[in-house]
Amino acid sequence: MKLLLFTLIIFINFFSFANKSEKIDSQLRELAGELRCMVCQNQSLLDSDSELAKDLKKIIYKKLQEGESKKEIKDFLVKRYGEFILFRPLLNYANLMLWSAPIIFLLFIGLAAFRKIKIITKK
Amino acid sequence: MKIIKLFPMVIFCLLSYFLYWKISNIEETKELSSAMLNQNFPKLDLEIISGNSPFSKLVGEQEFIVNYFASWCAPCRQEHAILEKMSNKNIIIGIAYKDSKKNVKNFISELGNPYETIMLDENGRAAIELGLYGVPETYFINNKGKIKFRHVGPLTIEKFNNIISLLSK
Repeated sequence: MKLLLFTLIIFINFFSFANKSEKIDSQLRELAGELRCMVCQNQSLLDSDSELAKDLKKIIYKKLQEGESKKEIKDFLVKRYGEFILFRPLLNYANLMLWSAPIIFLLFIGLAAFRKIKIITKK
Repeated sequence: MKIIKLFPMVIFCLLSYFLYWKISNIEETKELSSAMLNQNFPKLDLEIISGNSPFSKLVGEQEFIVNYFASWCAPCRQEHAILEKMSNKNIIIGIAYKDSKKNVKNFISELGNPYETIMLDENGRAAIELGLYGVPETYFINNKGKIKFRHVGPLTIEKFNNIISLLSK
């Protein structure tokens, strides 16, 4: 009975460890895919084999193990490497034009189209 | 109404001209910017290979230069002679990147020592704190302890003097 209990505890521990490790691996892959390799700048950290990319992936893995969130890790990297490390620019005051331009253009084109349709239907 | 019809064409021409102007004015030798510029020099807890612990005395007191190098890096050899010449007038701290004590000592005994202190960043962890891309890389810190300039790649005398004169303005 004791042996069975012992085996069960070992099995549960092993299973939860493997599950946690798999979760961290997938988080690392997801996050590294969103970050730029600063050495080979058209590749993501996930694809890059440069020394710096390897070091950054190790740091990200460690931080994920320590329970840090994606945002905390991104903030850590942006503080040191700048916003350029992010493939998706942040939604902040400096990038306001970048994010709002498509909406402004869509509104402008929509308004022009609406006026045109109105003129055609009047005729 | 005719003017309105021409509007998209005018916008297109202006945009094309702007892009052409931007592309034709790209400076190949433009310095890589750093997120660490104007930030306080971070606390680096590193093993000292030679010299005394530098940062407690220097940071916020004097201007100094931090040069990341490695014995295995060919451009660092090329840059070393320049650092030797410039070490008379400047305080240069050397940090060996992903290197071993033995190889750093051999490197210094072969090429000379321009550094006030040499430190070892064996696994490259401290380099991340500075936002390092690779070696050689040089940081210029002012007397308030702020990083004022980052140079990526080997320094030449001309570049070195340009940076010093730029920072003294």
